[in-house]
Amino acid sequence: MPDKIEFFGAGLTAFGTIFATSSYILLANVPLTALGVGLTVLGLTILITPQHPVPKETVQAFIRSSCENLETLLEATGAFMKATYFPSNGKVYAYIPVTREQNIVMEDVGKNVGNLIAKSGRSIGLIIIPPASELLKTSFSEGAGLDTVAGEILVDASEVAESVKLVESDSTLVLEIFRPRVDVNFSRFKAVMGSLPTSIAAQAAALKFSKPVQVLDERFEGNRIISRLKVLEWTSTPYT
Amino acid sequence: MDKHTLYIITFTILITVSVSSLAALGESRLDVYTSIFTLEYLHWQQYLGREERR
Repeated sequence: MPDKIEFFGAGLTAFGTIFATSSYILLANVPLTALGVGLTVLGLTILITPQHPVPKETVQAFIRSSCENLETLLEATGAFMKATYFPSNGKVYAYIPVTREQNIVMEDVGKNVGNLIAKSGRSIGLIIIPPASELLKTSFSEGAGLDTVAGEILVDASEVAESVKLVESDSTLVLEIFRPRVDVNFSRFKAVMGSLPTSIAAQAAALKFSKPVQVLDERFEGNRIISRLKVLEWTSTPYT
Repeated sequence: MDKHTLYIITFTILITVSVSSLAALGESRLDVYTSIFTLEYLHWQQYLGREERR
């Protein structure tokens, strides 16, 4: 079904064509003819430029389904501790502990990539591929700063937020995500993985620094999310 | 504001400004107007394409 903007574009094209023709034939006025031509070009531009190449609702439905699967898995395993995002072979994975006792170091978790369950001593956790992991692979640009990378992934590539601001202090990153457009309302998913924009930002940070990243906390203030991420060392134990 | 809306608004402003400026200068050749529109269109298309590739 045509969008409102497409109706507007078609109307503008028709009006511009009639206006240009009548200005040229009846009035013999070149500036008005040019204005008509300009309106026609503008109308055609609106018509031919795709606003959303894939319907937004479809993309959101895909994201929700993917997160719902994770929500079911997290509910079934009773996971409640925060996930740690870590890069491996150019891809980002999330480690989610399922036992209270966690003395596993991230280096050992990295060795378990490919398995759903990571086990080390009495520590058991899940290694899953978080949503948007594939997106990062295609839209990640080397050499750019984290604020640029976060902007590229959250704003340009996935369009899940309108803009992003980032402040770095030591190993803590504070993100301000403005007007998130896509999010999911799965309580377990949010508690473990963080909100969808924060989760994507954490994945970008993990890939950028080539280090594990954990979501410390996040606050929802009006139409913005303020999240704190912690960049961990490979030798550190994330759950103490 | 998303890129598509920004693009449409900027293009509208550019067309309005170029028509009024050229009309004020007394330009009466239609090809000059169409050339300017073509340049503006191509410039913005290229800018939008580069933004998407970034």
